[in-house]
Amino acid sequence: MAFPTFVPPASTTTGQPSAHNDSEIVLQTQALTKVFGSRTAVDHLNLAVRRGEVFGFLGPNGAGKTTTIRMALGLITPTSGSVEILGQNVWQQRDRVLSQVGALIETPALHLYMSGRDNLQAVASILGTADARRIDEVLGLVDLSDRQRDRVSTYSLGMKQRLGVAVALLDDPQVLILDEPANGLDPAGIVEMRDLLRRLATQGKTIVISSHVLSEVQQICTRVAIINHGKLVTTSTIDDLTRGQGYFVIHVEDATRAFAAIKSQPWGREATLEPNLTIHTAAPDGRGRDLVSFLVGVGCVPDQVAYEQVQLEEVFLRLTSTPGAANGGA
Amino acid sequence: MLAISTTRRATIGRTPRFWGITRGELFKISRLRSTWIMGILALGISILPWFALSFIPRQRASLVAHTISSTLNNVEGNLSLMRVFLGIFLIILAVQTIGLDYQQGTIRIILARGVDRLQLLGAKALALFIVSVIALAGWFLWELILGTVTLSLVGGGFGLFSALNGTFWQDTGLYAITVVVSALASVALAIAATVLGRSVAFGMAVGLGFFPIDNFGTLILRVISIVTNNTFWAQLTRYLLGPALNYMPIAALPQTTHIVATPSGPVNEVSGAFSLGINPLYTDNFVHTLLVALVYVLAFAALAIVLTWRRDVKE
Ligand SMILES: Nc1ncnc2c1ncn2[C@@H]1O[C@H](COP(=O)(O)OP(=O)(O)OP(=O)(O)O)[C@@H](O)[C@H]1O
Ligand SMILES: [Mg+2]
Repeated sequence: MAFPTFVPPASTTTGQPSAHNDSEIVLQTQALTKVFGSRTAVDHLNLAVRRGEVFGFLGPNGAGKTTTIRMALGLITPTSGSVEILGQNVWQQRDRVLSQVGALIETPALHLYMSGRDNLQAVASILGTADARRIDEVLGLVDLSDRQRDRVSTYSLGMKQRLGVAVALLDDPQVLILDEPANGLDPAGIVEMRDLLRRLATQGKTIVISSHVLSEVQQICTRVAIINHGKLVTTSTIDDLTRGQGYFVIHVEDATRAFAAIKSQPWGREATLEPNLTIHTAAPDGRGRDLVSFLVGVGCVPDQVAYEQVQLEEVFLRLTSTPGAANGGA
Repeated sequence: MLAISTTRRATIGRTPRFWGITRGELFKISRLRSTWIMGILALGISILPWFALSFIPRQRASLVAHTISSTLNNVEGNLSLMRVFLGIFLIILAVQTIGLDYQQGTIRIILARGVDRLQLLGAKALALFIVSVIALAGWFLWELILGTVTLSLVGGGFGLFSALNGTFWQDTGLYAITVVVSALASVALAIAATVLGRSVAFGMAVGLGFFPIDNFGTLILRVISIVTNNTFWAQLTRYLLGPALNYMPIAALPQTTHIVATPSGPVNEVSGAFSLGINPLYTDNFVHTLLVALVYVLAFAALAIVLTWRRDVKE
């Protein structure tokens, strides 16, 4: 993995918004490592998240996502390595850096004995942003306006999760780090959360999401990093991860003959003939056009050729199923 | 759903400020209803001794005859109870203030926003200090009101009240100081215990169990001392926090006899401190008890600070 050795411009070190710059790195970890006893939870992790990205941070259970996020937020001390946010070291400039970062870590952390509104009020006074209008605004954003006076102990998990996001959004931070934001949300809630994150992204906010719901990530993330056993497996755009990994579904009259012809080709060795007499195959150099002309050439004019996009899930499982494959770190 | 504000807020670059954090903590304390109910209940109960003083004939007579000593006795009894109850109240409050943030995980939300751990601990301690001062001042005021009302009712005017001389007020003030010291020691204990255990349950167990245990420990040390025929063990009780706090008012206010003018002529009055709880087996002076309390408070503070500073936040 190659990472740009990008030095953020001086203007970002003051925390002032700089002109929108696609390549400006907002969050960067360098050889970040955390060892708990004899277990290495995060192992020389290098990540770089650019301004305005919705960055997916993926990995199986216990991969080290939460540990990484906790280090990025200054909650646990890295064993070695460093985290920079907005060009500043998190451990040296905690207050300046982290006041620009809204976060949700695992389960929503709320005062159950207080109302939803009071929870926001408490955080607002701590952050020095006590402003009733902003509290109304974020309550509206997460659709909790009509339950704001109820004690949080009476909320459903999804409502707590949304209130957790509201807390993270309270003072309009530039960077949002959300650990499993879809946790406990029903399908409608997931769609709403996705819309909310999309809108925030269009505002130029940088969003890091760790998630297990890969279809979610696939729909909103511009790039993803996949980690396993604390090590980076890959960083890539979703397109790059899934491109060329799909397959073509062919409906053709003489399926058996077409299948035999495809099977005889080097690119078609993995082809399968499905029970419904459709053929699933790769194409020469991944190009559908060449597949069609090949079929026409062997006299099997297809009725239909469709491309099936591979799901992120499949790529993810392939990349993380063998421990030995986890070797993409620095 | 409302639209997201597109204007960048003027808060960029601000850092959380200590006073803001303290205010946030005070806000959270103000929402702890159960604790307030307990405090108000205690204020209600403290009416009883004054009530007895005004309506039980013998007590009433004694109040008229020996105004200073019987008022002082009553005040000392009340302050002694208050020391214990306020201590429990403040321990519960401190445990909740520190422990709920750990238990409900909200500490990570606050710390993840750049609040320094020690700054947060300091803000919580300050918030608790403010609440303690308000609670103490409120209770002292309450006692003053109750005392004034009682003396006026019994004496049919301010006659009895004006009989209270400078020594009375000085003694009461000294006693009040011992209550304040005790309250602060209780809060420090509760903070350290909760930081150590990072949970409300642990904080409550240690915070509320500490004083009964070291009071009882005095008895055990006494037994050990007798069995081993070695006064070393009994000497140890001079350094236990609970017994030191129990003994502090007695050490501060030695038994004194003074002549006092009353409406029925000059009278000899004996005043001495009353204090709840077990005293050390070897007693020292007021300064010693103060020093013992101070050392404990410093140790509790050091424990809380070091643990907060050194440990990862895994909540
Ligand atoms: N406080 C801790 N003490 C010891 N080990 C820990 C601690 N926190 C995490 N670990 C270990 O570190 C590894 C990474 O855990 P982490 O919580 O970061 O994983 P994750 O990717 O967030 O998993 P999940 O998807 O289940 O949330 C795990 O093996 C875990 O057991
Ligand atoms: Mg996790």
